[in-house]
This record gives sequence, structure tokens and C-alpha cells, in this order.
Amino acid sequence: MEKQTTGMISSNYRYREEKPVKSYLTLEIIERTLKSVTSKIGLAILLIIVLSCIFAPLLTKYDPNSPNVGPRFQTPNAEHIMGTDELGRDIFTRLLYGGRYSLGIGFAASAFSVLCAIIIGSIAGYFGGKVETVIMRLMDVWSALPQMLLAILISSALGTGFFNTVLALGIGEIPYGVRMIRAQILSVRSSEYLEAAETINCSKLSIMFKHLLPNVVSPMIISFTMQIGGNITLAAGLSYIGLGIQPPAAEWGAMLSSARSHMMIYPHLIIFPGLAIGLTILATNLLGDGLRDALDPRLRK
Amino acid sequence: MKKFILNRILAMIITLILTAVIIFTITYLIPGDPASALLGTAASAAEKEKMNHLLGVDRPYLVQLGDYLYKTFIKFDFGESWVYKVPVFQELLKRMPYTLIIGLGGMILNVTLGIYLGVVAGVNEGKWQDNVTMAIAMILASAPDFWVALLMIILFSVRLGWLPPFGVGSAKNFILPIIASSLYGIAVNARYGRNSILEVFREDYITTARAKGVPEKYVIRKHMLPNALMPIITNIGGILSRIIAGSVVIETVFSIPGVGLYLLNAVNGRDYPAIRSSVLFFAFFTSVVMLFVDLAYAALDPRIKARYASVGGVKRWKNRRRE
Amino acid sequence: MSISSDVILSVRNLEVVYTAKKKIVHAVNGVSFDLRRGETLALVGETGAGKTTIAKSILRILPNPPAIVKGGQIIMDNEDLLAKPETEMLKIRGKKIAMIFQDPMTALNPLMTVGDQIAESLLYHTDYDRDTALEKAKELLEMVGIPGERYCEYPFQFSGGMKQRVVIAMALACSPDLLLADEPTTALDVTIQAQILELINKLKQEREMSMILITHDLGVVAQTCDSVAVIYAGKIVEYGDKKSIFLNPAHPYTIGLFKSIPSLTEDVDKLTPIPGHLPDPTNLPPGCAFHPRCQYCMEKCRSGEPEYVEVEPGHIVLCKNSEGVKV
Repeated sequence: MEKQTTGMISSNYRYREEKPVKSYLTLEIIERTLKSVTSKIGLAILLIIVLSCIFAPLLTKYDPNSPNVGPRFQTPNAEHIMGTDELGRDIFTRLLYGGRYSLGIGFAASAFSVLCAIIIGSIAGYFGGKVETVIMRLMDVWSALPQMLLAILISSALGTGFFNTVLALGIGEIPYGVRMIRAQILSVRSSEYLEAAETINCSKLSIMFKHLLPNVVSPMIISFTMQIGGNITLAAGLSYIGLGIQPPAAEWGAMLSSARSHMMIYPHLIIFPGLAIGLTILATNLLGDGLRDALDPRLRK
Repeated sequence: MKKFILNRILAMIITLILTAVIIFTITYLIPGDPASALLGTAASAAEKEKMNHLLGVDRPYLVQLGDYLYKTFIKFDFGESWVYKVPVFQELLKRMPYTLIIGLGGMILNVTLGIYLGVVAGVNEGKWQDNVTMAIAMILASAPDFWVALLMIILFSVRLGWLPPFGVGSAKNFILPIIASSLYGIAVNARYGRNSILEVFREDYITTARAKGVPEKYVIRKHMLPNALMPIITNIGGILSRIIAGSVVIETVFSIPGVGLYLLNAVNGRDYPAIRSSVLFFAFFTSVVMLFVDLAYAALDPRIKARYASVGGVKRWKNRRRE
Repeated sequence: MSISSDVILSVRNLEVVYTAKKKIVHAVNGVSFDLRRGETLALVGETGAGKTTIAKSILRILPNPPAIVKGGQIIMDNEDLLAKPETEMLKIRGKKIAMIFQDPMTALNPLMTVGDQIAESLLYHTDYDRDTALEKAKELLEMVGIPGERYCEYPFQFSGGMKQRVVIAMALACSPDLLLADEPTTALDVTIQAQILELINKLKQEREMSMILITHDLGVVAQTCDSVAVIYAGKIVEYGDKKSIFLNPAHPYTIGLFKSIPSLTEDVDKLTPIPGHLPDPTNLPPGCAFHPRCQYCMEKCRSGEPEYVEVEPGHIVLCKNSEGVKV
């Protein structure tokens, strides 16, 4: 009797082994993403922007914060390719240095929220039962507040500045990430229980890590990329209304807010920072789209 | 059906209460006491203490929470603005219409235009209409809405002089804000609409309809569209969230005296009752719209109507979002 | 059932290809047959042989970007359907020719009542107003064995077999002259299969419809059809009336099909499938498309197209070695 049962189960197990276990290797992901033209364009634009901001001192000789490196309100010309602002500072320089803030907040806030989501989601998924229910209810209410409102509240509580803004933005995103992770865990868990019967030798933990993490990683990567754009816009918005990062820091949103009173006469003060934001977000969106298509292949088209 | 609506309303109230708790807790945790903000740093410690006692912020957390919940939900007393000394409720009522006009206007615009673009793109997959529409959607999704708002002001108010740049004098004042609010939603609806239509396109019942001799125009309208709308409607909640959050910024850009701007001023002035009530207002507005969305869902899809009109609605509602 | 001698549908040299990412799939390669009034023709073959494509070409509901009708004629009422403008095809679909599909679970629009869906063809093809159309829909439901009051219910409230009945009612609403049935029972349980086939037969006789029944189940063929066309790699390899085909199969493929059916009367150790598999439709073998799998294959089969040979009156086979093939 026993022999028969083992035989049946192991043949079942072999059958299940034939269906490829979803393990997404990072190299494979990168490979597939790079096949699509749009994601290549997105990646290229993003790299250009990121590298320009990192290597700002190499690209421009001006100081972003000291006033009057040039005459005020200059429209784009040979000396200042994007013109100067209301305090005579070179706009192109400010964009490059300010990009460090904007991009930094975008990446950091997304990373923060993804990390927290992974932790909370894993706890919920691993323990299951009451713990999971409580956490998911909490997420429901947490996500009832729009991210921006939460960010405004937290920002006002903590004050302006880089880290405070990162926290303010990141906290609002967490519930969505948690939901996604838990969904992944659920789908893997139900298939895992069947195999758990045979693999009594392997600890459940190691199964979960071997099969869980790869499944969790891919949607999280997509989520991370898509969130960057949103966070950059929100950060700019926060700076615009007086929270977030404030002048004289050259954060792109702050630049827009200082330009507000002069924009009627000097639109270039607004055009360039906004263009910078838009281009960056376009790049991340294209990249995110490419990633999403690569990781969830559509069979029909 | 009635049971269904009642279940939903009950769920909505519970969420609102929980949201109020969260809002209260966050404002409670804001460092610094209101008295310092209101009286200024020059005031003496004794004066501050007296003020804090007057405002009731020196009581323990749970007491304050209970008091707040009771006042808000049972007595509908939203308190007085600590800064302006006017009842918050009046202020909200005065400002609500502006925010609502922009919010709802933006929603209507983005739903109709977005879905239309999505359908055009989906039905013409691969052809120029598809590529152009998706390119537009991508651009709309990338450009920050308040930047576009600023650009529109420069173009339409300053250069062309067609529309007023700020204030709420006439109906014309709302055109630009509504357009600015709708941009993100148009992009999302166009993309999801397209995906939805593409999925429905291949379904067997579409072939059946064609085999019956239904002209293509009606196949799209009566068979594809209703089935494609379902996933689109799911997104509306997210879009609404963005619009509401964006209203703070949009109202700043256009100087519209709405609830968003009120919230911002309240936050800067540490005006707790105003902060709480404004955020609660937004939460309430969102919940009401979601209620209608759920009803639309049920009205559209007979399967859902059958499922949720039964007992245990609230639990199922909480689970539904995970389906 | 009386089969009159007048032909209502004539297919001549139908050729259909699918273009998929620079490859060309030869789905239908020169199919010709005639269908007489009141006759039921079975199109038999494995999945992917091109049967559904033939049927969809008759109605011209092939998905247009990939599928292209490269040549041939489909003549009904002395007019070539393939040459007709779309506006006229709209009048034919559902009214003169109707089609029912394989999977009833997905063939109905989940958001419309069954009554509305049945009434839809009436509304487009007749002058009935909405109320009359719904009344007719109720009658049609009764006709297929569903209580008429259920016309206001939605598809999800019906079982698979009942859904298929609704589909049949929908197809027959305007009393078409020709019914195309694409594996109407494949997705159903065996017991329901029998009921549905009976229903289709009954209605067919009552309305003197002709039918093209696509199936891969020889049992279904035996029960319902008058003539059989065996399709392989987009061509008719054997054609004849039911008796001749069943008693005297002439093409190696047909013989293989009959042999691979498990017998009800004998004990069998192993089933005898046909060796090999269907040829790649983008790269058909030269000569006779079946020759790589044929046990009677001769040198001459490997090159040059085979021609139709009449084995018995009314029974033709596409084979170069027709004498050498014995059951």
C-alpha cells in the first residue's frame, strides 16, 4: 500500500516538475526588456538624465546656488543654454543639480516603499491567518487616503527636506505593494502545499524562499519602476505648494514655484524644469512598460 | 438590490470612521503644540498651557479621539477653525462647490475622452490611430499636471487672452482647471481601455455576433464596449484619488478658493480641526464616488448583482477588491 | 430525409492563407464540393486541418489581418459570396447562412439576456419590433427545449448544454437555408451530446435546412450526416456518401482514422494511431501531403500533386495509389 502511494505521488511530482517553475532570473529579464524599442529608448533617456545629474560638475561650470552668475531673466543663449532665472542663476546648472534631489527622492521613496511592502507583505503571507487578516484590513484603510494627501500630512508633520519627503511619499505607496506581494504569495502558497506533502525533508521556509522570492521580485521590479515617475511628480508637487524641498535648493518643483510670479513674462523659467520632469517620467514609464511586457508575455497579438 | 446598497453604505461608513481615526492619529502625532503655532513663540509658557487646555490638546489620546469621533459623526460638529475662529463646516460648505466642480468635471472629461481614445486605439490595433492615441496617452501620463496647467495659463491667458488665469469669477474660470485635472485620467483610461478592448475583441461571442449579421459598428457598441468597461471602471477609484490629491496643487496654481487650498493653509497653520475635516471631506467624496462606481458595476454586470445582493455583503465587499 | 437534387452551395477551389509574422500558413488548399438542399455534409479531420477555416470563409467572418482568401468561389443562389460587398454579406449572415460554434460557454455575451441575443438577429433581418422579436425569441427557446419564460435570464444562469441550445435557437431564428455547425458537441458531456445532436437533426428535418457539420468524431458523423468529406492539410482527401465512406474507405488517412477508434466489441491491447503528425502548414511536404505517414506510399507519391480518382459512383479519393490501398 505504502509503496503504491509513494509511487503515485512521485510520478505526480515528476509531472509537476515538467511545468517550468516560475523562476525569473534577472539576466533573463534584462534580456527580454531590451528587446523592445520603447524600453530601450526609455532606458537610454533615463541613463542620460541620471548620469548628467551625477556628473553635473563636469557638464557645467556654474554654481547652482550662488546668485548672479549671469544677468537675470536671460532667455536661452550661447552663454546659458537654458537661460537664467530670477536671481541670475543658470537654469541648466540648476536643473542638473536639482535633478539629484528630484531623482533621488523618486528612487529613494520607491525603494523605501517597495522594501517596506516586501517586509510587511512577507509577514502577512508567511504567518497567514489572523495576522494576515489584520494586516490586510489595515492596508485597506491605509489605501483609502490618497497618497498625496497622506504625503501632505506627513510632510507637514515632519517638515521639509530630503529624508522627510522620502518618508512622506514612500509611506503612502506601501499598501499597494503589500497587496501585490500578498497576492503573489497566495498564488504560490496554494501550489506549494501540494508539494509540501512529499518534500517533508525540505523545510517549508526554504521552499518559500526558493519559489517565493523569484515570483515576488518581478512584479516588485515593475512596481518600483512605475512608482519612480509618480513619486517624482508628487515630490515636485509638494515642493510647489511649499512642502517637500524648498528653495534655494534646485529641486525641479521648487524651481517651478519660484518661477510662478515671473512666468507670464519669462515662460522659459517654467518650460525647462517642467520638461525635465516630464522627460524623466516619460523615460521611467517607457522602461516600466517594457519591463511589464517582458515579464508578463502576452500570448496573443 | 436594496440590500446591496445598504451593505455598501454600511461599509462606506465604517471606512470613513476608520479613516477619521487615522487622520486624527496623524494630526495628533504632528510635533509641536498648536498653542505655539497660534500664539507665536513670544507667548509665555503659562499662556501656551492655557491655550492648550482650552483647545483640549492636553487630554490623553483616547479621550481626544473619542471626543473627536463623537463630535464628528454623531453631532456633525466639525469644530471651529483655530486660526480663523469660524466654524469649519461653514467654510467647507462655501468651498466645496469649487472643488467638486473641478473634481467631477475632471472625472467626466477623463472618463469619456479616455475611454473613447482607448476604444479607437483598441479597435484599430496596429494602425495609425492606435499608435497616435497611445503616444498621446504616454505624453499625458508623463507630464506633471500642474506644469501643464501653468503652460496652459501662459498660452491661453497671457498669450491668447481667451481664458482667465485664476479666481472663480465665471464659468470660464473652470475650463483650464478641469482640463488640467483630467489629463492623468485620460491617459490611464485610454491605455486600460485599449487593453480591455483588445481582450474582448478575441472573445467567441464577438464572432457569434458577427455571424449573426450584426454590423461591425453595433458589434463594437453593444457587445464589445459593455464587456470592456468592467476593468476600466475598476480603475476609476485610483484616478479619482489622483484627482483629489491633485486638487490641492491645481487650486494653488489657479488660485481657486476650494477645499484643497483650505487644507493647505490649514496644514501650514497647524489648524487641526480644519485639517481633519478637509481630509475627511475628501475621503467622504471618494467613498461616495466609489459607491456609485460599485453600483454601476452591479448594474452593468448581472453576475455581480446576483452575488452581492445576498447576505454577508460587507465581508464580501472587503474581499471583492482582492478578486 | 429527402435530399433534393438542387445544389444550394457550391465551393470551388477555395484557397485561404494566414499570414503570421512573415510566415504563410496554407490553411485551405483548393477545396471544392457541392451541397444539396436538405443534405448534411460532414467535414471530418483533425484539429488544424482547415475545417473551421472553410466554414468561416463561407460566412466571411475570418479574422481579416491574418487571414486572406487567396482564391476560389463560393456560389450560393448563383452568386459568388466571396465577391460580394460587405453590406450584402450582412444580410446573408444569420439569415441565409448561420453558424454555431464549438464552445457554448464563451459563445454568448455574458452581459445580455438570452432573449435579447436571440432577438438580435431577428431585429437585424426582419421588420419585427422589439416586443415581437422577444416573443419570437421565447418561441425559439421552447423549440429547443428551454422554457420560454427564461428569456430574460443571463447566460451564466444556464448549464453548458442549455447554452448550446440557446446558441442553436439564435442561429435558427431567421430560418436559414444553411447551418454551419463547428463541432457543436465537442465541449459537452456525452449524454448531452446525444440530446443536442437529436435536436439539431430534428430541427434540420423540420425546416429542410442543409447543414455542414464539422467534427472529428466519427460517431457523430455516423449518426447525423449524409455525406462525408475528409480533410487533411487543407484539402479534401476523400469524399462520398456516408455508406461508401464507412464501408469502403479508400484513402489511407481515412482508413487510419477508422482503425484508430477503439472497438466496442473486441478487447484491444493497444490503440493504433496513425504514425507521425500533421504536417507543418507553413511547410507542406511535396507531392501528396500525406505521404510521409502513409503505409502505401510509393515513389510516385512523393512528387507531383495527386488527382481525384472515382472509386465508386459518387465516392472520390485524392490518391495516386488508389488501387494499391486495401482495407
